[in-house]
Amino acid sequence: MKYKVKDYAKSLVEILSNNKLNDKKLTISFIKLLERQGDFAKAKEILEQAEFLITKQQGKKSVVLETARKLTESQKKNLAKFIEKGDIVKEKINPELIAGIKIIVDGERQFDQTMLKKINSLFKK
Amino acid sequence: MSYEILEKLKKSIENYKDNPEWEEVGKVIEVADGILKISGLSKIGALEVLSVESSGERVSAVALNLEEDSVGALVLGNCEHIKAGQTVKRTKQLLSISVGENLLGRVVDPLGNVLDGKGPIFGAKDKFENYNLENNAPNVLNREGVNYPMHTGIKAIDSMIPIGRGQRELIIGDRQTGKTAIALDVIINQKDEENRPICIYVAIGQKESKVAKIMQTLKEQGALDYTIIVSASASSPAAYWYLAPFAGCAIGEYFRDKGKDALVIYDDLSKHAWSYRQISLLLKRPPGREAYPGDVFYLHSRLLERSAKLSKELGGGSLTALPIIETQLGDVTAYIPTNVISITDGQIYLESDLFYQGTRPAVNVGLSVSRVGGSAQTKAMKKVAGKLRLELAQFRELQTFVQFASDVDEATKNRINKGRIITEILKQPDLYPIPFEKQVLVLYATLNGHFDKFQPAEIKKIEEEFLEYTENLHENLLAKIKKERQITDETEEDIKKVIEKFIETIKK
Repeated sequence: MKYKVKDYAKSLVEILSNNKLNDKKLTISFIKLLERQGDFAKAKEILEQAEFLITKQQGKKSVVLETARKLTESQKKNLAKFIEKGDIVKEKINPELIAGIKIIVDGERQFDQTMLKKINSLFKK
Repeated sequence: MSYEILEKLKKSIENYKDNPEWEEVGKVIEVADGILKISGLSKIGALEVLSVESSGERVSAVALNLEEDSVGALVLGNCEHIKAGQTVKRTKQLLSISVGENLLGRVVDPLGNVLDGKGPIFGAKDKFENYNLENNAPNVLNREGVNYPMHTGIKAIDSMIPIGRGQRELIIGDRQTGKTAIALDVIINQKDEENRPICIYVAIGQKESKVAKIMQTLKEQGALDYTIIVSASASSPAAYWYLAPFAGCAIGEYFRDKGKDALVIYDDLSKHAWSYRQISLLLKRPPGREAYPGDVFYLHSRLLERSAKLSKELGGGSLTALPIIETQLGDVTAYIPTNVISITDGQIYLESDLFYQGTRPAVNVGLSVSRVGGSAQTKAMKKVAGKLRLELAQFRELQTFVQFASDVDEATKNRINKGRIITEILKQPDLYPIPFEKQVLVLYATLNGHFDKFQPAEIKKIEEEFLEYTENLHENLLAKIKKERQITDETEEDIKKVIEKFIETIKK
């Protein structure tokens, strides 16, 4: 039977919440399971999904900050109000954005204040 | 020149208003054959339009499959540049088309984009409305019975299979049996009709050359001014084929809701079903009979149910539908033909054998029926053509019987001769629709035995001369029948006199 990424992620999160288990042993058996099922290619996706589920369980959020250049310290300070302790923050550099910032929360909500978006909407009109 | 460009740029930057807001987004996981699989977008609604940000340009898609952890969407446009990982945004809008009076005489695709190269349809000052492609059909209280005829200009149809405004009449037959020709005749015949309906011709999966030819024909016949062509050509993606009838219907609904009459022709729903099958299989929906998805009946029933005659309170507008179905080797018992036959209010069945015998339009009167059109038929036509179906049926029976008999009595001979004359009278060339008042005169003369003394081979010429004679010398009589829509005793006397005079002129 084929399992979905979400099913693997859910079960992984459940096992991880059980503190009695040995981390190393758990990792090895999980990889073996994936191999046996022929789903090893999905490993990265499963881990991402598991990470997302854990953050959600803890009432936290995963945030992607996409900018054209590396964020400066002052910019990071400004964003600190928005990011809570325990949130997973990933910084991504994409020169195509030209300037500004794109914030993606939990992969479902996006706040786009980049120059690329502004230029696109300007020429669309 | 460069200064001007700079000024323009400055102006547009000054006028630019930023609208910072949170958007709901998803990510493309898979893309193939015009279908997207998207993660995220957990709050999306069915049939909502999505915007895929694919390398600089935006491509629209429509959400069809809402699954537990992904969304299946249909790409509306070029999916060559869409890649996995790209962002998809919600637009919170349902698929719609801009509709207004300016659409008349134009050729558009199912999304309302211009295809005829005559420039944009709606200017800044033009009025238009956005109509959803998927709309609810009017409920029982908002409808009334079909009561006004939709004259096709084809004698065999107007006399025996009458169609009313608001009816759904299927045109069914094999390839090359004249299905589109009938549809075109109906459009052309509306030219001089009272309360002329707006005609919408929906071409699904047809060759661009055929659509161009149809457009040219309508233009030459002066029918393009009140016609709109929605074309999803053979080279366009299945998504366009699937959406085309809904777009045509939405355009028709606009005119229906304005209190006008509209006629929409779906040419053809077999191809529409094929496209829906393709999309459904690619979306991994479970296949059913002939690999069509389980809801292919609902696909056509919800489309055709939108054709209606509205009540007076809602303006009394109507939307008549003439769906076309192409059968394979005359098999009307296949899945899609039986579905559409059961949905519509009757069918015009065209037969290849009749077509090759020279009976054109090749309508098989025995298998064709109109379930509600009788109440919309004019009294004049009802009075004249009441016994036509019976006479033809009797003739066919006798004809089969006589094939095996060598000696036939006089009465049978006469009956067979009359049957042949009727068959000849019902023949009609393409693009030659006849107004109902002329049809009434011709059928009156034929069925009351005035043409019995002529040979069947002469009938076509006699008919032409008779119509010319009445048009030139008895225009008042034609106008009277057109106005009164019934044959009073007085009119009948006049008709008799006209026919007798005409026959006398022929004798001379």
